[in-house]
Amino acid sequence: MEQQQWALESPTLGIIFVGASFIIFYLIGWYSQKMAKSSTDYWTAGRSIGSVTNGLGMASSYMSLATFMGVTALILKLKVPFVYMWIQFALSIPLITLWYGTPLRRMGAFTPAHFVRERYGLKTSYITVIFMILIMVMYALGQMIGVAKVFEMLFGINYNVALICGGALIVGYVTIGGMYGTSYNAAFQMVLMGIAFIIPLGAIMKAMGGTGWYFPPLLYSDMVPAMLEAVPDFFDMKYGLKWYASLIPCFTLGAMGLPHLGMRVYTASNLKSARGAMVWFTFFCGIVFCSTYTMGFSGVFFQATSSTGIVPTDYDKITLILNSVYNPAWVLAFVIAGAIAAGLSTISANLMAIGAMIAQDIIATIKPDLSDKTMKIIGYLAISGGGLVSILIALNPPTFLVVSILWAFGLAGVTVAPLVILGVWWKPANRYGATVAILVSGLTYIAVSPYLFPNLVIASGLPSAVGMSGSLFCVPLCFFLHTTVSMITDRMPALMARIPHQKDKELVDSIHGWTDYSDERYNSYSAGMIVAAVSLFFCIWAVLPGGW
Amino acid sequence: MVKGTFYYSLTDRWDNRSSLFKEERMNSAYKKEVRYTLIFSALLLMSGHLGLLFVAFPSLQGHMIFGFPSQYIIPVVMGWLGLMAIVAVQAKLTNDLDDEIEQLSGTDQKI
Repeated sequence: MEQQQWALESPTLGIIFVGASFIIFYLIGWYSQKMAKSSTDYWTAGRSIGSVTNGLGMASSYMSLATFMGVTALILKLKVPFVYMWIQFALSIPLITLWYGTPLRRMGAFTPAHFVRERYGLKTSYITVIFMILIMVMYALGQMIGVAKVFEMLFGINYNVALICGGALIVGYVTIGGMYGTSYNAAFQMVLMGIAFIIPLGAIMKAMGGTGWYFPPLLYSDMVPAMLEAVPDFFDMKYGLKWYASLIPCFTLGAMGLPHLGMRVYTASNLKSARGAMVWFTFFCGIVFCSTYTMGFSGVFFQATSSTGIVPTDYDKITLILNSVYNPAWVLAFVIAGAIAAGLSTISANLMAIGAMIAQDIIATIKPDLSDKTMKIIGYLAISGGGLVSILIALNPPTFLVVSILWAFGLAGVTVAPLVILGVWWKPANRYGATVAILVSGLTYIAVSPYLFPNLVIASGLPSAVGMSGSLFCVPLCFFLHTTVSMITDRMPALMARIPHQKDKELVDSIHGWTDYSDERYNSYSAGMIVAAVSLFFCIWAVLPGGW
Repeated sequence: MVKGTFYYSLTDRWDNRSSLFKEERMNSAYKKEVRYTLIFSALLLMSGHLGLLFVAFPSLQGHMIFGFPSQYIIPVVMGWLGLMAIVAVQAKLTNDLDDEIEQLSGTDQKI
């Protein structure tokens, strides 16, 4: 089997497509930025985005380069189990809206960190913000790697040069546009990437002999017998119960902790519009996700039946490779423009979240009387600084771009989601419980991932690298510590006298829409005991050997 | 005087009854809020994690549905179209519940 250097035959076509799409992005960003009258408008798009635009924006923030390139790469490596990993990502926005979309909107919070500040105090919020910035940088890192790989294939240039040029273009665009730019651009980018992904995929299926090419997301069953002959284990579930169970704490709860997804709920004109957007989100997400499974399926089939070998470092490029083999050059150029749109929309959302956290959650709390103009400048600096850091880390990338993104999901699941869920729904949750839980579980998650101490891991291989094994232990640990420490300290009057716990409890009622306080709501100790017991069970199960 | 006492007693009882009624409705709205959150969380988790069911019960695997192995196509379809149906119902019911809570609390926050 020969190996091939994959690059676009005619870079001019690619440059025309990518250049044209960038001009449109910049124009939308520039026009949108003019609409931002204050720094609040800049972060929340004036809370005026309609449900279809917002649904497209929500899906677009999610349809990153991971969807365009990373998913197909890991389907090539893991086969169908990776599809199960991806299906559940569509739960994020519905769960965020269900569990804390309404309360956080009532509070007027930009990010979950803003909620943590109001509910648990400044010190806990600083710890949360530090973890969240790390999460967003790791998330943006995967996108930057993807952008660099696309530029590498587009121009046939060195990875580092591609990374610096592509990264600089993107960071500049986000800084100029703000959330107005990212929301309206995200909607446009979602349409562009959807078309650039699905229509060429239909052509690939047709060239491969598939009769369902006119609806790629679901109609490829006629290719199944040939796939089973070429790759008999393609549909095998391969892994153990722990592997599948860990998807819930790591990725489902992880997605709930991602600030850039929550921000989409806050940019809607009202909550009903946000819920309408949620339905559109599941539709757009589903159609593109299902198409990525088809692309992965086609990639595996191509890998097994073609004489041209694809080296593991090129797995991330399989979508582009299939297009270069089966479609004309201009289609590949269009797909590359779509891939860049996918990376751009997510990096925008990541960098906007970093900017909002640094400007609104750190600087604004330390110096609350800064002028609106100064706050906007700080926002610009924070966004470009976050972008620069992710470009620098991407100079030494992991083999698969999606690994850093998935690890970031796990950290969000461990640190942010439990604090917000318990803070919104359980009044006894107090500042001591939150601080101990986020510090201990967050640091434990980092310690048991293979990057810091390679021998101190809960499982080996991929579950450890992407944070699945770490979060199967650390998410329940966070819930356990938060509930038990809160219940214990609640019985220590000397400690409770030092925090405004009654005010924190009143906040819970008010964010649920109740104007008069009642001690009977959201205040069950039995619920706390049940959460603690179930969490302890999962902590023990996670560290028991085997099951992966 | 007697008439006045009777009148005040009636209005007091009416006020007490209406306040009790309001408290009951608030309590019921609160329970509904918790119930919806738990039920929809369970439904959402089920629709997105059907792979777990197939690995826990391996006998469900290997049946062909629409030309695909069951353990593949059921989670894929439920993770898209099934989820959409659940989310549409969730949006309708939680919108109604928000209206109810705001009406009981006497606010119109337009969040």
